[in-house]
Amino acid sequence: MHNLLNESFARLRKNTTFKVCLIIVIAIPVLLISLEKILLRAYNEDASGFNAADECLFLMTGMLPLFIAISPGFFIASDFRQNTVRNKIICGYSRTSIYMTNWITSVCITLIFHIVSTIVSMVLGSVLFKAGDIFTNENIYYSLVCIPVLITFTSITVAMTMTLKNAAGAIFSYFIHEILALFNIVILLIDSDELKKFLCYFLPSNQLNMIVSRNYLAADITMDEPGELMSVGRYAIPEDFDAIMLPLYAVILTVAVTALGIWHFNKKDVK
Amino acid sequence: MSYVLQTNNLTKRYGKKNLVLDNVCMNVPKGSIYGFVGKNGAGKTTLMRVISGLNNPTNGGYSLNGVDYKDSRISEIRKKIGAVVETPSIYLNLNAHDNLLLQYKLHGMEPDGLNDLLKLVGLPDTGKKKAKDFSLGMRQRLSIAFSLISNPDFLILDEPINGLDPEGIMEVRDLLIKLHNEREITILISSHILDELSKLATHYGFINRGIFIKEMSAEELERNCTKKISLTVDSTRKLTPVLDEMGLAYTILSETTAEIYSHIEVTPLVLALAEKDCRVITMSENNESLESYFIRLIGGAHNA
Repeated sequence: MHNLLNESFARLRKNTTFKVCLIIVIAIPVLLISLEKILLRAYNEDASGFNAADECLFLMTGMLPLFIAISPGFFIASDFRQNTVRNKIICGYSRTSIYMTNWITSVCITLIFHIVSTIVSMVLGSVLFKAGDIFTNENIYYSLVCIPVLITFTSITVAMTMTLKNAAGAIFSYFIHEILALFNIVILLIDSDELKKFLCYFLPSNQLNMIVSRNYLAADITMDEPGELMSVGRYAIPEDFDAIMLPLYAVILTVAVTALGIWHFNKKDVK
Repeated sequence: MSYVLQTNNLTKRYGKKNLVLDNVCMNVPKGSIYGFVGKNGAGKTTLMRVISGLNNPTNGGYSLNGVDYKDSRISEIRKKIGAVVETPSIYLNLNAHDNLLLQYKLHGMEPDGLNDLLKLVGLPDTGKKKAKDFSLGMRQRLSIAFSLISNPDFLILDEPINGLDPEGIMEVRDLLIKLHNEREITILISSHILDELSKLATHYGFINRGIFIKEMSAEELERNCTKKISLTVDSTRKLTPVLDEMGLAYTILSETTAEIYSHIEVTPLVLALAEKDCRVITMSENNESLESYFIRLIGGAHNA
């Protein structure tokens, strides 16, 4: 597998889609934070929105599934489109090692996007605004939990692309996320609290929402004046065992999706 | 005789109904150039895909250099096999040099022989030209270069001269002969262009509609390719009863042409045909080509 990884990373270095996505992942927080600063200046610092670096922390996280679908998804799909995956099988590599190589490369792409966008957001946020409370328990918790959740998204994209053997798999995986995010309000209609909680914690789209908002809804909300919402302790870590459930479900889903993907890839013929 | 490839009742089925390979038993002798002959859809590519590891057999199996395909040692055996199956599998956005460099990485080898390999396949001066701008022949040659990186002892080539111009065909043919002679590589090659195949092959295997019909050496084929008489008549419908009556082996090629393979005396045949009011337009004697032997083998032109 060492040789497969060597080849894969050498190819990634020459991959235009990856480079373009990386530029966009850097450019979006730069543009958003700069725009926010311009707006704040124009409205005498009274405009709503973020005004400290810690508020920029998960600025790109909600958008990363799109870039995960595009960059790792298209990277894997190109191997099928150009039929170069054949060369690896003909060389004698097992399908499991080919799958795992794609998975590792994709996870690395995701982590690069996540780390780069977070650093850019934090540094630019600190420069243009104030540092704020970056190293709070909530921020550290959600920063760590974000990694397995993003890996779950990557695993789903890899599994779908390796199953459908083309870019449609990557696009489809993103659509699933979008549809789930769009209809997650349906969860509120469910009577069972247990099921409601399970869906909130288990579905990656909801996990991502929770990370981006840092469980905003779970924080204490008080009403000082009629019609005026005041948030106290704005971000919150899920209580007790729930705090572990979030990363645990992400790991379970990653393992299940990857195992299913490997099983299917081993079973089916390669074009 | 030792064999590089042996298939044992190899069966491949797509879905429940589509039987593509039906109990194929094929033996590729070590050191041979094995010409795999069959019409479109006969199952040639599927067999090559199965033995390359791209497709899994439905039933039966195969062994490479005596190692069963399910054996864990098969990965090591495959490292000494090169294959070009169907379209060339190359990175289109990279040039020939970078494409080969990635293949060297895949094999875990230092790219010491990269330039020599480019020279061998006739692509030494492509520079920064990307593979997507290559002609089909250039892509085909780059694919062959891929398959040669690991110094293989068995090369599987599926229709390597498909879509090539006459010059390209000649270049690939010369390259294969050179590889076979200089590196003693066993080559399994399929092609539609049977006359071209006959310039290379030392052994032949014939397949039709998924059924492996026969395999033989080039010498046996030469013995089997009898002299034939090509006949043009006004109607083959009048010809067939006469030939049947005389007990001759023949193939009807069209409504007016036929080939007779048995030894015949011309005068009695012409007289018999005249009696049935069948007019002979032309008659010529020539050696049977691989093409017509194949057509005869699979049961006439209507089957080809």
